[in-house]
Amino acid sequence: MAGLLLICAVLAVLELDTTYWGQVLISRPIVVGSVIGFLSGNFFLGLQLGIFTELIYLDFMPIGGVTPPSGALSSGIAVIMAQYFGLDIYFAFFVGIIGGLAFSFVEKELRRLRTRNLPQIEHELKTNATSAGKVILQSLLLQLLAVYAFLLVCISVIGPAFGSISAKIPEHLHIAFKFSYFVVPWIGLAGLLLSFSAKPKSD
Amino acid sequence: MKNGIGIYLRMFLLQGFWNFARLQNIGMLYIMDPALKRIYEGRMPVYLRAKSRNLETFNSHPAMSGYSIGAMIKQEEKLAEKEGEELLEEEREWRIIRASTANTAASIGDRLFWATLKPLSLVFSFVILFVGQVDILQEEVSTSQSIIAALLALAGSLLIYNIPALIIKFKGLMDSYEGSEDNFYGLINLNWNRMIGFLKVLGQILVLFVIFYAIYIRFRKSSVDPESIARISLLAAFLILSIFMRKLNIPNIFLYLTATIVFSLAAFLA
Repeated sequence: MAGLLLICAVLAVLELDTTYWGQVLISRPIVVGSVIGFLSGNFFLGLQLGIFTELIYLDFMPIGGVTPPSGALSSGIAVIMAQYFGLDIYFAFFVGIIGGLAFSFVEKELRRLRTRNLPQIEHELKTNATSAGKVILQSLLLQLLAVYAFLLVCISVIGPAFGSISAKIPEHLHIAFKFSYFVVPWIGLAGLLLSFSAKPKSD
Repeated sequence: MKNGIGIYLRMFLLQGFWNFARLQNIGMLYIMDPALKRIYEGRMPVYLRAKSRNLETFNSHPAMSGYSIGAMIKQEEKLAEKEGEELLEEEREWRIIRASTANTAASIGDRLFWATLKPLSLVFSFVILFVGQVDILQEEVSTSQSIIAALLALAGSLLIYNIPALIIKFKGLMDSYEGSEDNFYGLINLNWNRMIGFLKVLGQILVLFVIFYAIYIRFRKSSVDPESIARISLLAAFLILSIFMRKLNIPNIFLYLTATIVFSLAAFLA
């Protein structure tokens, strides 16, 4: 359990790179999947889940006010689900995608919260009552805690719930999810081809 | 530029307080603050006025924001020497330069970094994996594959994006500080369209190689039987469907989710 909590902490730190700190792409799914895969004992599983996640999220771009689903959390959650809760890779991928989509709502709320607090913060900055560095540090800490809390919910509620029902999932669903998982790279590669000819999406 | 490295390092926190109202304004103030303190040293009222000014809305691409920041520092140095009507006039100029450089740099950055270099770095990772005989698309993930090739692919995914991003970030800061209206604060020092065009052609060639090689390794051991033909047909259908969805501006994720639901229903009905 301590190892899993540590992995969640690493994942929360990597997720910061998506928007708030760095943007040097250590939060891209191929990297996050591999890192979390390595830490949880199956590097290649993490690499595959990371690449598949990246392919499926390729057409989301963080332009302007868009809050795309979190590829970092999707790949990280998928690896955790496969490694710690025994989900088959195709179910783990699905849960990861849903997790990434769900987090975009949390992200939107965090941005709204910052926007609500902005007039007060701007007033304090204009009167030298605080510094921009301090404001950013608090913002990063809030983001880190929010992501960590989100991951705790995933590993304490969603993981065990899926883990307990996975043995009872009918064979039909295994076939369906397995097939849709293995069309992901082909969907993604077609998208990749078009990304070199299309303009970035604004929304 | 004084303390150029310090400002460069602060640029990594441009989006540290991203908000819907004024986007990157707090991050921009954080980057500009050391320069403002130096320029307005011992002049608290004008320093506070400069801080207020720098809290106005700002939005650019993180890797391209240097093209605004350098120009803004230069403009603050000019503002520090003005008073009265001249100051107001120079502030108007400051706003025009800030908006025009930020918008232009953002547009170039979105096309170069998000729409070209990021996918290109992923394609390079695929090429490295395939050259290293790592079959990452196989149904059972094998742990006995080349770890070196996998690590090189990971390094490639980071370096192909970050080397240009880090260089352009620094070059933008320096060029815009030294620049003027004549060279649009350094933004026309490079031929961006040519660079993007070349990278996109390279990307198209490589991704076609990846698609055909992936099809080859996926089906090289298959015989010509109805099952193989059905599988190839379905994958081809998804390739075409994905292109069609993209043309309609529908993200691929919805194609995956729809496929999952349709396959589940079909599996139950079969």
